[in-house]
Amino acid sequence: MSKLRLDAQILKQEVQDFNAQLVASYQVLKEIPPVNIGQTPAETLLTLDKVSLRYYAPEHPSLVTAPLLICYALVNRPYMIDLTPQRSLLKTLLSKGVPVYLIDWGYPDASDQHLDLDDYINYYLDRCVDAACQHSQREKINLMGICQGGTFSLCYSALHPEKVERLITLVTPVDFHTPDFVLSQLAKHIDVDLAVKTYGNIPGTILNETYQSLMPMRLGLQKNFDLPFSLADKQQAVTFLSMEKWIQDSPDQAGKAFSEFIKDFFQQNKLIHDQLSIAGKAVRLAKITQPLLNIYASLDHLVPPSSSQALQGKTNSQLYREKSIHSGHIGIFVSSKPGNQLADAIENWLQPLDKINANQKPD
Amino acid sequence: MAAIEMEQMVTEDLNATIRRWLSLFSEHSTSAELPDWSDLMLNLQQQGWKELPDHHAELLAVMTQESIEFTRFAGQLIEKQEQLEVLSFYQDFQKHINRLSDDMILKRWLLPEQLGGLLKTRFWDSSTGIELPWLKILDAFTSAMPNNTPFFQQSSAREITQLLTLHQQALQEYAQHYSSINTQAIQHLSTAIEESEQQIASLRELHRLWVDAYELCYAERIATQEYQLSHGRITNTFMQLKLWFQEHRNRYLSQLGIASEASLNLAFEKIHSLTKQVRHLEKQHQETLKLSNEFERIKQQLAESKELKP
Repeated sequence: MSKLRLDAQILKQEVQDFNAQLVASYQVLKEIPPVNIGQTPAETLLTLDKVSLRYYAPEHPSLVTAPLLICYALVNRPYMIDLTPQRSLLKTLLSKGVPVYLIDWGYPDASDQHLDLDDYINYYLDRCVDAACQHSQREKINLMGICQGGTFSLCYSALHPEKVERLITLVTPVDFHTPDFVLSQLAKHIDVDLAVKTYGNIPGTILNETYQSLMPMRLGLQKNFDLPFSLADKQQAVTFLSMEKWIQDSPDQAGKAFSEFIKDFFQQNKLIHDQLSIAGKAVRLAKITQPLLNIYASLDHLVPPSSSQALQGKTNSQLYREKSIHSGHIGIFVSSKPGNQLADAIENWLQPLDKINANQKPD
Repeated sequence: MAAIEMEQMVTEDLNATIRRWLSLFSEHSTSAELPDWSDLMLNLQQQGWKELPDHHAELLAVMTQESIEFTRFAGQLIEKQEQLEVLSFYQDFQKHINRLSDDMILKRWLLPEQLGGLLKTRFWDSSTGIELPWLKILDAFTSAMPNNTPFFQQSSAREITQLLTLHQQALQEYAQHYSSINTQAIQHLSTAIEESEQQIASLRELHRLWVDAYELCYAERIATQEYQLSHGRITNTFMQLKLWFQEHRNRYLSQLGIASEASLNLAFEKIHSLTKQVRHLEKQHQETLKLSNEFERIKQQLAESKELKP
């Protein structure tokens, strides 16, 4: 006898519940205005073409914790770290007294399609580092790179080691050919030159579709099925809408930089094999000697932990630590517990060296 | 339901009507005795467009569609409840899933410009992709072009036929992967149900098992070299078709003396190259300035030390 015994009364109840939640969601949606994200006030220190550098001052600056420059990925928008006032890594860091500089890469348009990795790393990022150093009156800055921004930060630190005090890589791909790196496997046979010739800049919607295709049933059917239950409560609905806004706010990618990143990193995995060069200059991880904290999310389906962990032993960091946080690629920023763990780990890494050694244990 | 009651329901505020539907639903054995849920939902959606911000309205559209599908699927199961056979359930479910997959593939790889609409509405079949006879006719048409047809038109027709054929083959192969994933996932679902410690009595539980089964089979499939090649192939043939259309459009624009995106692109490339040169020169200038200042400083020091000497 089969275990499948769908019960008519239960089914009716489920339909009733589902549709009642939908009606409640509709009422909630009517009451909520369009959501605002990235609300923490900031001062714009620098604007270069479409790139800007923002400064967030803590109310009570810490006497021992050094400032931090955050380099986000080109894909998606940096306000992921400041989604809502209740779910904001940025606010948590400020509350701990950490002054934060944040790079906003902006929205590239057709006129930016020839921007390459040299422009992003050796010009925009470099100028942001200089501006942050000048503003904080320091010779070097603490640099934290998130996801692709972490890969950029590694390249930058290898090319300009004299400007980086300490380095944090967060959910950062390093080895692009680990067996569980699905995104990389899907990019393997794509003709990137043809993509750039066809689209110019690569539309953000295509990237979003690709991310969704990694878990189509869970991110499609399951998510839609849960929608009325997420939206029927006002507070939950605001968080959900903020997250959705962030997901859909996906800038187009400057064609040349995208092509170089896919070919050199995803398809040929040059960084980890010491074969990468940017603007004719060799990028060697061994040039990195700064203290380096490598944080990854143990449930990350976009950048698998194996890819981030590959960094171990590749640099000459005087102090290398790994920190695993039980979360996903996005949850690490927006979920309460992982978010707090993350902020604690970052704050700790910005302390004087002797304190780091005492507090930060390798996981 | 009495006609008079129905009459009252449709004249009431829509929201109240929906709530009434919900309260009546559990008392009725078949959904046929109730007003059509799809109509109520589409009505709600249309009203919602007017009142909600764009993004909220999009979510309402997704939820509406989900609700219609869910209510329809659950309604069918409730009606079949007495004679629900496990085998037919799995068969119906597979049909349902295949339909969703076909929709997904068509949406994702919608062909460019007018061609996409034409093929989607007229010539799509999930088992064969674009119908081969259609392509054969197009092929025959291009081969049989009169000799006096301009060379440009002949070669264009041949190119597009070739690109469509390649895309059709890629699409067929890609769809085949999804069909296999669906079949495997349903087998997994069946096994998971039978190995479950408890009876599966609710759609939510069934749904949870299905998502787990599908993601497992999907992850296995996309890890294969065959899938990755197929994914690359469909992406590339799709882009080739899109590019072909763009290049043709640009050629016509150029004949009319209108600047196309290709000419604009050339200008952007030159601007970018010049910007780099300027940056390089600025950097050199800064370094020269620095060296010059240093030189002046040393010169001054030397002069001062000479003055100090007796």
